[in-house]
Amino acid sequence: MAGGNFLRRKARTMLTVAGVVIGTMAVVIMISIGQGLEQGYTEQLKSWGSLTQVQVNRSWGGSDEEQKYLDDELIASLDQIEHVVASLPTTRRYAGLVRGRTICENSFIGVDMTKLQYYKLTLANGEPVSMEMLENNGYVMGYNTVFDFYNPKKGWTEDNSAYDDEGNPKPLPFDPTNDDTRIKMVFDTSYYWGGGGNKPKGYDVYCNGVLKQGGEYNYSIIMDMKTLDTLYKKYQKDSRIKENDRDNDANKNKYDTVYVEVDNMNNVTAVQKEIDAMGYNTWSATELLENVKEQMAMIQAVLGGIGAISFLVAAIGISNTMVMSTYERTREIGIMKVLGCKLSNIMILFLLEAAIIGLCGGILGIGFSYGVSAILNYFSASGALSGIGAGDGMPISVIPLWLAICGAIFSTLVGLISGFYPALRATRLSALEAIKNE
Amino acid sequence: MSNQQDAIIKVKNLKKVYTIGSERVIALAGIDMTIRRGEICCLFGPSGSGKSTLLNMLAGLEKPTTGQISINNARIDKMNEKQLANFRRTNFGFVFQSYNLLPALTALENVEMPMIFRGVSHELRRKQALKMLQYVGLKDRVKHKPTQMSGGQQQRVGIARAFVAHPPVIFADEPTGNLDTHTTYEVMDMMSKMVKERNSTMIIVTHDNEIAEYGDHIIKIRDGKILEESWRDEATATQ
Ligand SMILES: Nc1ncnc2c1ncn2[C@@H]1O[C@H](COP(=O)(O)OP(=O)(O)O)[C@@H](O)[C@H]1O
Ligand SMILES: [Mg+2]
Repeated sequence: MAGGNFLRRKARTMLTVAGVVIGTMAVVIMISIGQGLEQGYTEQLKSWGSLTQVQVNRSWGGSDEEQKYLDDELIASLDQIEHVVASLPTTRRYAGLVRGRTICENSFIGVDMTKLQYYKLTLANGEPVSMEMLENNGYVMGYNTVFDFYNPKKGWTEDNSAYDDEGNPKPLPFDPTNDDTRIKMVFDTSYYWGGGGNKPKGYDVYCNGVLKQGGEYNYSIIMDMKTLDTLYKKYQKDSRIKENDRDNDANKNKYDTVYVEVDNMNNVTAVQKEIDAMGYNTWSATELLENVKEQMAMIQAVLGGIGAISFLVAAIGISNTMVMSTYERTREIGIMKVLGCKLSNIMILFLLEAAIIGLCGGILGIGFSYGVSAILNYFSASGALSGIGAGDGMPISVIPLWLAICGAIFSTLVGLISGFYPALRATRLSALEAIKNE
Repeated sequence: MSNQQDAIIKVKNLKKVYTIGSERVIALAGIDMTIRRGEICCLFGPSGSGKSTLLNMLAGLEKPTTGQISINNARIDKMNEKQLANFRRTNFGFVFQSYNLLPALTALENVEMPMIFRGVSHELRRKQALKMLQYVGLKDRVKHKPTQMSGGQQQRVGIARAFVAHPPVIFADEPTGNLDTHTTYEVMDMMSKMVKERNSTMIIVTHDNEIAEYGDHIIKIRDGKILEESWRDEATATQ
């Protein structure tokens, strides 16, 4: 009889613990997914560009009078804005490099030599790009640009990819800074496509470095903007191209893009707003990060809410079990009270039991969560969940130590809180009623 | 004068009225009595006369409607729940009709319980409990659970539990009510012997004439009132 009673109590306690396990798992897994997504996005954003930069572009549309140009006047006023370290103008020409029978067509970016250090141009060997490298028709290439040389008559081949089959970066196909084949710059590449006419004049340019892979200028060629301008003028003269109306606009809009370097990531949004108000198009990785963070917070709140509901159900389970337990032990509690047991001891007895249920459920739940997290990440890595995950191979569920510890503490607290009413009820039982002869 | 000094329990004009819905049941209708230290006091009367009610109030398990109760010069009618628990822990031992042992605990653990509440060290309370169980003749039942023992054996565990912490006052409400005649005498002999050895005071509730015989001081109760008081030793009873 007593044994049966004990077994029944044991089974009920197990079920209650299972409830807490589910609640803990729900909360921990939900938060871990939020953590994973946030981590993934942050990594990805970092690879997109500097988090302290605002990119300023021309705002198209509007009448001629309303046009806002990217010119020296703008650069001067941008430099006036608080927290702006430097505003970095760039010019851009789409042109080609000819190497033997192969050509490489890409953007030639002109930079302001007086502000060179702020462009944060780093070579593949880790050294910064120096002024000398861009002097005397010197240029540096984006890492992936080196792979872009191809024969237009044969088309694009496997060799033109900067990555191998597994997505890992390949070593450079040749060293453009120490090359036997002369590389020349041409502005009009149509001849090489079979466009007929005379072979265009190539200008002597000298590669003095290759940039670190990744980043803004991965597929660009960097030059002193004066060099780029001089070469272009030469080309116009050689090809007898006259300036027309369109070039008039191009003269006013001296720059293609201006990058504004801000002193601190936290000030980027404020600076960006100010430039927006001036009537320009702006973009920053930080802006994206803010959006992502907002979305993450919302996803986490929703997921956390689902977890919280599971926990609430678990808490009700604990409360119920403990109340049942006080019913079953009414007589025992009564006897103890008659014999002078302190009320606080009875209280502690029940609170302890509830807390232990919470803690056991919490620890088991965290253990299972690590398992579920590993399974999720396995599927994520295999690409099955790429729809909801961040970057490929990025774990979508991350359980940091603090989350595990907080999970255990939280489930114990839930146990304690759920046990409070039943414990109070136990201390308030009438001792006399409890010990009355049956 | 010496009478007053010897008094351990003093009761003045004690009344208890139960209200059930609109009906009022007068369980105790004004009790005045004094119990002296070292006495076995029998509350004797028919069923429903108010004996248990009186005992429960003396033991601080129930609040009187009006009246005063002082035990060892402490006014227990004025104490709150917490103070009463403390007072019971240090001053009282209990023997119940239905034994009221904790079913999950062994005989030894049941006897240890009052000492656990008093904060006696594990070693000492184990020693004391074993001594006590030996005294009541249950040396070989130490590890048994209550369900594995006869009624008489369970009640002897109950007695061991009541006396183990040397409380000055023992309360026993119909302690032999569930026992056969032979066991009844065994149990009663054991309790009165122990009370005398330790100079404790015992208040025992019964409706049984034979058991009232054990009392030094017999209080006959009827309809919530004292009908008659008598003392075995008439010489000490002059009032
Ligand atoms: N909790 C209670 N509520 C209402 N009436 C009670 C209660 N306890 C006792 N009584 C009544 O008080 C009277 C005395 O009861 P009790 O002290 O148990 O008598 P005894 O122990 O002498 O048999 C009885 O009439 C009983 O019905
Ligand atoms: Mg009774």
